Amino acid sequence: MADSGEPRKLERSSAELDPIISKSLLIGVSASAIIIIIGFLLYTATGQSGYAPGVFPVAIGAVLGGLVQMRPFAIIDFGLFLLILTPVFRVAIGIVGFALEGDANMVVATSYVLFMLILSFLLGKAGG
Amino acid sequence: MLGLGGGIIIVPVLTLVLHLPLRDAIGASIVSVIATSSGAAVAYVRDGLSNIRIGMFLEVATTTGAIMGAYLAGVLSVTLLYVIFGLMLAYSAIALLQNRHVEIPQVAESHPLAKKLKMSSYYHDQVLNRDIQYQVANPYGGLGMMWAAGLMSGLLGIGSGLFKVLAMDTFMKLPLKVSTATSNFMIGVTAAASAGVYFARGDIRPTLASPVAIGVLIGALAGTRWMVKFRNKTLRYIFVPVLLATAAEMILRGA
Repeated sequence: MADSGEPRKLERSSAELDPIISKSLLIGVSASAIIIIIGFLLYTATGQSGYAPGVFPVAIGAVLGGLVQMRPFAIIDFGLFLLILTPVFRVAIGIVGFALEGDANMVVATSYVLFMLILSFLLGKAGG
Repeated sequence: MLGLGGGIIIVPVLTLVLHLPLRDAIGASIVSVIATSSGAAVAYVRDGLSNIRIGMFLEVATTTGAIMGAYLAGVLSVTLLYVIFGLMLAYSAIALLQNRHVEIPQVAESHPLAKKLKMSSYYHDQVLNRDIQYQVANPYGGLGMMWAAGLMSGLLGIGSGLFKVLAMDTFMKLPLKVSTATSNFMIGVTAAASAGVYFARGDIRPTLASPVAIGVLIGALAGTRWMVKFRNKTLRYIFVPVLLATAAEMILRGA
């Protein structure tokens, strides 16, 4: 412990990477929240989802297509999609950060995590 | 606030109170987990409460488990899932109670692997008003528990923050606040791994998921301000009743 006699300098394990990861999460969360709110307000204001009842876009192409046409459900889904991608971006930024620190072990671990995440999106697409 | 995504609350509320189908509730809760995690982690990571090295290392196990779980979800029966869910929560409550007198766990020296990955760190405890240096034990036990946590997330749509907190608290002997904040940091990634599957399957309904996401984001930002003001011991006492109540509810529902 810090106060147990022999003085030891306290070291945080990731002092440089912490603020960068924190900021990137803030950006992802804020952007998706704003987009979801816009889509939701548009949906409640117009009373129209932009789609037939019970239908909403699922594939990424359909979401982006509907987004261009300003369909409320497509805007909401795009916001939700950004929200889901926020942790993925954070992992990608982690890889770059650990690489800059020259920490090969953590680069391998984080890269594997990113690979699994991308795999899950690809598998989800195939399964859908 | 407790490093749990809120899935353990959102899924029962949506299904038991609002009588929505379990699949839609799970889809919405996955989104809420990501919102909680990312929203709260902004503060936890900035303040050094979340240990991102430990988090990112353990995510290796959680993402592997999550993908396996998402594929088993269509195969296993919903009733069985409820019972498994409930029993594991009850077990967690007992484990937490056993450690109720511990404020800061004492670990003399970090495990060699933890040293190699520079996991040991410190955080500033607002309540004790001093910096707490901590060491890290048993990363392999932590990895195993994390795999199970990921599996649960993929199966049940919860971030299984409870199992992550337990893995870090019980196996790796981290201070409870660090376990909680690091679990919170990790659950977003675990949930994202299953979210792709749910999104493509059409289980994430815009009308349900958008109000849930916004509400939870606001709640998560408020929750971070409270958690740091509690003692680690107090945090344990908050965990236990939440666990027991949810466990009983889910077991009854399954039986």
